Amino acid sequence: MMKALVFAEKADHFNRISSKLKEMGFEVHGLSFAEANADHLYISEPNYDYASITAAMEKISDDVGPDLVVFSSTKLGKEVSARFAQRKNLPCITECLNLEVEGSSITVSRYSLGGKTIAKLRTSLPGVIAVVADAIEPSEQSFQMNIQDFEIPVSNQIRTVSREEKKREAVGLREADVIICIGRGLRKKEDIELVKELAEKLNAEIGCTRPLSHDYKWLPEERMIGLSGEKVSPKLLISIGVSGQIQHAVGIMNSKTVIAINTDENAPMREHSDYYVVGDLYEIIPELIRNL
Amino acid sequence: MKIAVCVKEVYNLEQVKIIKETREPILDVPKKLDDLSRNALEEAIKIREKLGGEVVAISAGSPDLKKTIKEALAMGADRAVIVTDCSNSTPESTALILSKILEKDSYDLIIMGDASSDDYSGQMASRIAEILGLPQITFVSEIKEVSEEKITCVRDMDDYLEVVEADLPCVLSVTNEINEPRIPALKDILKASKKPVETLSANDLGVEIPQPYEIIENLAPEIDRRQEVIEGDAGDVARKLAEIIRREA
Repeated sequence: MMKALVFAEKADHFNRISSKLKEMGFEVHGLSFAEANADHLYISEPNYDYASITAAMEKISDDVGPDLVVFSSTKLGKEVSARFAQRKNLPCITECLNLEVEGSSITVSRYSLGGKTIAKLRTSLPGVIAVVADAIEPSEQSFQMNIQDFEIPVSNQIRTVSREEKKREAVGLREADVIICIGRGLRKKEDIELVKELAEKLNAEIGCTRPLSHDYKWLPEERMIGLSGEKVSPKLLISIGVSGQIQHAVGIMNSKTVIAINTDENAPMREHSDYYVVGDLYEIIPELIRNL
Repeated sequence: MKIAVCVKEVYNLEQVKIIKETREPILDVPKKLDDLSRNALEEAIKIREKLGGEVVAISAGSPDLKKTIKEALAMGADRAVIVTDCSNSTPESTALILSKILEKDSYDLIIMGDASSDDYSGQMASRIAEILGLPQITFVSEIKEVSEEKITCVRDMDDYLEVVEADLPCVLSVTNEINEPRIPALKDILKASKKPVETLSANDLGVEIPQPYEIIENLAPEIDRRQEVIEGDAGDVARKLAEIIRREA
């Protein structure tokens, strides 16, 4: 039986990945910071240092001899996957959305060309991948659940001075039926009030493009929709003042209906819209609120 | 302070069109220096402005790199070392090639973007640091302090912010929020063509390019939107929209 070795710092990610691997017929070994589903699981104290985790995975890998080593494609997971792969002189593919095994090779899908295309890549095993855990539908699988404690070796390559959890507000973008997504067409932060008024009428969640959350900081990061943020699938998405760069459009592709309001009649957003309104959001939105 | 900045040429993605029938991308578009490479360069130039020293742009890519690298020199890199015979490179091969170049000099800092905006693979800092046996600080959103011996950075991770320090030499990868890259003036662009560029081949460096995977296909997802355009007086448009919203929400 082929063996997989998994590391994910979040138990939810770990379980999604391990269920997929089990479904594919792997015996699943893993390292996690909390109890999670695996045939053989090492549990350690939480540790977010790349050098320590790489050393731990190297040690476990030398014991287990996995055909495939899988990380969750978080920032930490990607960082460690590449360092581990280089140490083991193995190929590594990050940001995998899907995986299939065929004999002694594995096929994965990932975005390419900034999200314009999806590439299917095949690599022979042994290999390393980092998987976008949220892209995997978890399934019910039964595992041997042999669990043992593990002490991650301490490394001092870099020293952590402080760590602060980001303040997260609970945002229901992924579950929302209606989403209003705003972009740089909005002139100033105060104008979000106008959008909020519309959102209340429609019982909608508000999302945004990357510049609004990451550059202007008008909205928290967890509201960012796109390749490096949330991928949403509402019944209706109303896009306001969004140019529609591919890195953003990737995040809205699973919406059932898309309405966009934009001053530029030829913005890239047009091909991602079912209804494309050419006009000034500052004139249309107040009128729209009156009509709802 | 001697700083290497690993930069990447990418297709100008905004110009990449998709063939409707086959969903294949048309890659016959100009290349440019990647945006995240510019962030890395900007940070390196700022450090040089403070501590003095040299900024060297290093890159592996296609023959087009001879032109693209001028953008890095115009921004302020002092010189460049490029490898122009690895168009179809992978993170595995690029890391080997760049490390060979980096080994030839002793750099205090090696800076790059946390990923490239085309492939978004994000492996380069880890792989290069591992090959060179150096510490790495990835996803840097702010450099708090840097001296000849030590660097302190803020890392912007998924769920937390972290302040870490490392002794130099060290490999850094930066996020695109770290700075606003400068736009070169005409005189800087003119000056760029006089700066030294060393052009090498993978063969010169003794690197055999591994091909660890096979691309089975690379196609655009199907976009099948109605694209119905609505124009006119704000009042009319709003009434039409209200109708659509009531139907679809």
